[in-house]
Amino acid sequence: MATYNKLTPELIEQLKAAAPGHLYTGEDVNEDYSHDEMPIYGKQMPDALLMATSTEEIAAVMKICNDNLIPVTPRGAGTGLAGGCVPVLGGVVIDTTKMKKILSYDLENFTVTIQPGVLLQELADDCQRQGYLYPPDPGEKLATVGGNVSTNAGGMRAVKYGTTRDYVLAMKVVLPTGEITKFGAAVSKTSSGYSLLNLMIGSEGTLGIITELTLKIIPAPKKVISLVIPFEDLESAISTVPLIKKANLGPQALEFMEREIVLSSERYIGRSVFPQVIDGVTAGAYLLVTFDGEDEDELLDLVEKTSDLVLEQGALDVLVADSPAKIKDAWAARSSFLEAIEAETKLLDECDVVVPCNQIASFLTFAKQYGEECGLIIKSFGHAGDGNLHIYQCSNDLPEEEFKARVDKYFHTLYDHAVQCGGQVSGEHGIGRGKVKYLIESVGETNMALMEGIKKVFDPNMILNPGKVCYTL
Amino acid sequence: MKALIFIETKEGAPIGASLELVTAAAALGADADLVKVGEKEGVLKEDAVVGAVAKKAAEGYDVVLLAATPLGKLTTARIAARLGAGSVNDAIAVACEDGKLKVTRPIYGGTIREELCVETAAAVISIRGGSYEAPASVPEIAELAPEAEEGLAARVLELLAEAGEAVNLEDAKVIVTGGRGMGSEENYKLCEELADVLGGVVGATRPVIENGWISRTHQVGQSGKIVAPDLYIACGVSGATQHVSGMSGSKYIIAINKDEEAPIFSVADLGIVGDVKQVLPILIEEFKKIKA
Amino acid sequence: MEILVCMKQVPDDSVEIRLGKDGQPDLSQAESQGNAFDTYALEMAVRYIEANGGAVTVLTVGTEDDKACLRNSLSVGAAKVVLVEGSGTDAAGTAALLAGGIKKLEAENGAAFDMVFCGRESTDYIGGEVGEILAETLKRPFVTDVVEVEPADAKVVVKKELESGYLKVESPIPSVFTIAKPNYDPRYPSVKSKIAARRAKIPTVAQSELALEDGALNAKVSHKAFLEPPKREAGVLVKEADAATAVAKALEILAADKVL
Repeated sequence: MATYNKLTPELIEQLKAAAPGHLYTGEDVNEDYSHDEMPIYGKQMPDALLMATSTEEIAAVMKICNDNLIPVTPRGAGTGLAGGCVPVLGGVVIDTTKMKKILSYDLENFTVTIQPGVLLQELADDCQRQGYLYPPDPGEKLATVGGNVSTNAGGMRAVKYGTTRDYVLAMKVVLPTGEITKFGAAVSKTSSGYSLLNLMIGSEGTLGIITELTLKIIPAPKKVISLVIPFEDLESAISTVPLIKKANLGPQALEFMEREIVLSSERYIGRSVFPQVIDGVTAGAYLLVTFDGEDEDELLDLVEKTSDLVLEQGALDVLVADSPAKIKDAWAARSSFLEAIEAETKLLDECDVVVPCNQIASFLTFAKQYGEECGLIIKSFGHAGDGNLHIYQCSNDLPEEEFKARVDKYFHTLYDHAVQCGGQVSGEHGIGRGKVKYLIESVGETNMALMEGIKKVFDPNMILNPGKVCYTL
Repeated sequence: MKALIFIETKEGAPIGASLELVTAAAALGADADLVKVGEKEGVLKEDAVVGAVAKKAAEGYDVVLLAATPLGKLTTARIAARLGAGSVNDAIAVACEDGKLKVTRPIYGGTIREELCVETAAAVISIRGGSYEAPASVPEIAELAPEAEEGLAARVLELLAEAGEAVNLEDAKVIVTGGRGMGSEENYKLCEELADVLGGVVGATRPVIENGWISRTHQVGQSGKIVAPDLYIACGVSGATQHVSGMSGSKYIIAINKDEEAPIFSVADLGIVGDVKQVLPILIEEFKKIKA
Repeated sequence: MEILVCMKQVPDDSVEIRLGKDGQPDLSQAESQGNAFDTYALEMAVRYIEANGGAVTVLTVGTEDDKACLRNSLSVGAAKVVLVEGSGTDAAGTAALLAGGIKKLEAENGAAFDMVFCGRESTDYIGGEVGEILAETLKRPFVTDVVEVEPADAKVVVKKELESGYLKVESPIPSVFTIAKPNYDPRYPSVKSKIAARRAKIPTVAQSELALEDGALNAKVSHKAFLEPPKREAGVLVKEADAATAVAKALEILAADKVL
């Protein structure tokens, strides 16, 4: 393992001089900084906190840390689900949430330039106000866009619009050495050397800290409509997915959910969400589909075609959410799934494997059966359109150590199974700290060595976010 | 100008918002007659009020004023319809301009105000509590017999009471409201404690009501009660328009929230950035000391 | 039971509306939809006739654009929908047009509607007057804030929501009720009914076809201006490292401002 030093009082003074008024230590650092939204991956407080306000400030602090072998951990809003922003070796946490300006739009070239601390919701609303859409729509609306880029966040619009990666054109980065550099350019295509931009996207704060982003936006579709489609079981629901794609219906979002999670959500929100019994048949699973387009006629055409298709495959009915209120209700329910599970569960872990779309149903059946074998409660929902599954392992009565042991055993087999199906360990949440050993198992030694090698090139002293993504400490 | 003021009563006493109408009438330069309406078994209060007040107003009043309470808002337009007069609900200001009544009211939940002009000879207006000061003195209040058309009107069969005591938020001088940021029903009780210490009433935002932490009679906001106390303390309240429109008339607003950017801070006279779970217990202790 | 539901199309009430640069409310970010309370009224009416027989008619006063909410009403159980032409009327004028439309439909049906439902208020102007004036114009028994309706021989018994608790009220019919939020949400239209509604022709009634009293549409209350609400002056923000210091500082300020 690389060597690291502890922060001395002298070094703290140096840091304070580099970032006057923005450097905090001791009791001034809130407990929140010891973890993200998955505390099960372990907590650790930093020794100092920088509430960064500029690229230069971050660079100055980074240089001091690099010169003195002090670990540095970048952090956005702390909403990650893989322990990615936990400062496992202490050191300095650099929080970017104060860098939250939307700097400028170039509406002729369809780009927007922002600081990394802008929240996803803020960017989405601001674009919307001007008639534009920032297509990536990850579930956590209060995450920072910098965080989204660092994890290549996906979200529910990925099936039509792709992931965050597809919308990042350029960025300003502070490297672990303290140098400032730029990756990418605001152009639509490029073949100009290795894509350092794409290496950064999804690197989870291990190769550099993003201090500015230029993103692609598109004209906002004028109208949106959603369908709630109940099925008797998950198999019949998933069977319609390849058919919907083949028919080129182009849904903006295509989510599946099972009865159990809908019930959890109803308990949490406190009212009925989706009809549960249709003509005497209990719905075992639902598809939630959104279409966007220029006018209502275009959308109703798509609705008609989709209905014919799914009803033929055994859908119990097709319910149309056609008013802003109804669309909001349907999606509010979907957005509350994670919170609903959290509210009902003492110990929680999750995996967001991605498998080929047509394997979703069989994979989930396996996930549930094997979960039972391991003595864990399994709850799931996910993106039917791209095969990204959110599988939660829950327990209300196991001691924590026992729970972790069972989950570990569960993950080994589950990730292995996913890879066998042609899938990967994480669709969008990232590797962080929690999933590193599973990544090693799934991609193999050759690729891990390549990743670690690249990491060393960016970060010779290995100070930036140690112990994450591509190696263990 | 002759004004007829309907005085609503709670447990026999006139409510604050009705008495403020005396000030409103004075501001219009009108001579005011005050009336209250008796109750009749089986008759809906609003039917009795509409019947009695419309009959009295027909004697020749230029303006009828009511407090914009649930009862006031239900009866205003009906009285006006019987008089062939124009009506406006939930006014926050009235003035006489060129012989006509100019009325200001909030729309779109309070984010915009609209100025209206009553074109008819007579007008029936309900005014939001807190829009005018309490009057220096209160003239005599005459009692009108309840009027209702038998056979035509609906008949009250029974009252289905809800658990919990009656809450008078509108007349409270101090209100302590807990919002979703309180985190749990347990923590919300801190707001109740603070309200007790200050001799006030506890309020709640819509998410708190929906979570079932307290009954809906405590809801402050567009779909709850509109209040204007001397002191309003908002704990763990983000400050959504829906809520703010219900309390923005408060004289002094204190807000406690751990999010520095919360919209509530832009309407608060004093904002404390901090965790309510830590701030409230200390605040309660300190207020206890001050009161002692 | 023949039930008539009055519906108004309003901007999406979850979007904050502010004055635009032109001094008019900026509705550009808010899609139009049926007023929430009117949709509750429609759902209540449809559930009633599904349980007790009958049909639901929906009536809107508006322009061509307002036909959208009528079309949506067809897809969630309304048997018939009608648009009465009208715009820019005050509450009394709107009520007069609704009354005219109702009377015309009743003449065609040969009978009065057993119940007329109105939402308790619309979420845009929140006046809560139209239902009230309509009841007075039609001279029918009137109960507000109804959340439940049950048949009772030749009458109905309704549950009326109070600030605290409920009243059980018996009403003769024909009657007029305003509707508050019941403990269920309006249903999702099924695609079959949505597509059928898409194809339906929606009749429009011109004002000339209504038997209106002279001057019924003269404005009793006229709009003069839109104003910005006054901005509250920014207050003091106390931000300290720990709660005890923050409270101490806050109390100092309160003492100085003589709040206590």
